[in-house]
Amino acid sequence: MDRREFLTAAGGTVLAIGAWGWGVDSLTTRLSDREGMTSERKSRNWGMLIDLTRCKKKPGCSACTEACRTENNVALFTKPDMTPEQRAETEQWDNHWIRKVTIKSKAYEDAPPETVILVCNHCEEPPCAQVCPVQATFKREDGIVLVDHHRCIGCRYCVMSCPYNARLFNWKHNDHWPNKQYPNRSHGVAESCHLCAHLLDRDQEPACVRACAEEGASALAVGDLNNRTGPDWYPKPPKEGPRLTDTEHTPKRLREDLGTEPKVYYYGLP
Amino acid sequence: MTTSVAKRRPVIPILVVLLLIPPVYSAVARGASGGRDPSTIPEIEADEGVTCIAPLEKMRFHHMDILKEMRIDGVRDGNRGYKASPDQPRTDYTFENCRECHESRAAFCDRCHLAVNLIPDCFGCHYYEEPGDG
Repeated sequence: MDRREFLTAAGGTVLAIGAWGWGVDSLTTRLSDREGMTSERKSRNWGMLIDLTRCKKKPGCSACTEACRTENNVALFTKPDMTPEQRAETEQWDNHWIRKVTIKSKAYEDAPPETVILVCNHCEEPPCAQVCPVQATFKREDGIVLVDHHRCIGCRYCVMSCPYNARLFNWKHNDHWPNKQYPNRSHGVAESCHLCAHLLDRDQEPACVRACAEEGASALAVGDLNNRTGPDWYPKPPKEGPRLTDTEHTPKRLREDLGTEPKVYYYGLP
Repeated sequence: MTTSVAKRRPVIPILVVLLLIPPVYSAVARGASGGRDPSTIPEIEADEGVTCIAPLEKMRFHHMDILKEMRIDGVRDGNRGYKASPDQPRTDYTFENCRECHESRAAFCDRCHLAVNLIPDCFGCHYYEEPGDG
């Protein structure tokens, strides 16, 4: 084959493939074009405020964690009747979206233990979304970082990359399915707190916020960081909740030095 | 390149004939209309006057695309529910609404899917209440 024949064959192949592709494209039915996120939703930037000074007033309370487990089918594999050995072995499979952790100072041994509520921080620059090879984990235009479980391949890169240890992987199948309106993720996908996006999208409040307000602590609030006095802050009146406009406290975030720009603010972070 | 001295056989025509046997057989065996085995036709328990969100042919061939669009619109854009076309309002649809007519998965989804042996992995995560469930 000389050069002319090669070029003719190559050009013909490219044209043939192009024609086939164009034919498939024009003959394929497009059911609907994605209408995309409404500008009203896009204008929001969902964040969270956790007032630990209020949370401290109810030691031993676990309303937020239990509400999250019930709403989002987040499974525990440890059982209350387990021996310490069994518990030590099974704890690694437990799933947590929201956690209430007790921290003790190493430097000041006399200092009392502190309680911190940990959730996914829905960072402005989320490492998990950056590393996801298939963009199953992504940051939505309204600021929520969430997982499309149909697309997740279970590589766990996001779990590794989160500096806040907020993400989990479903290592095992679980039968914990209290809320049938919400899917129970199967073994093999990664996930984390998504600020109850399925509720926020329907103008309802996240489960943890609702539970904390009902419990009386009113330590959690979720709302639009672009509009801190606006109506998109849960819990809504008449329920009580912390607000970022409160001048008595200075909001702090976890590991601000990392540059992830987390969107969960704390009052009373030790 | 030397020309082979072996007997030249019409390989490609023979292959084409062999490959065409399955579709020709199924077309002839089931009749020219490709008549369906009745056991693969789903049972639909629709009330009088209730119509599905989309016409039959669209649902039959594109229900998986409709579900995919609902997922993408809901998860990625926050637009939960179903929108039939750009000029129609968005309805707050979930699987629950499909169940208003299609009450039993065994009589509906599974009949076609088991018959064609194309079993999607929906119900490991999504709940589809059967009529007998508590």
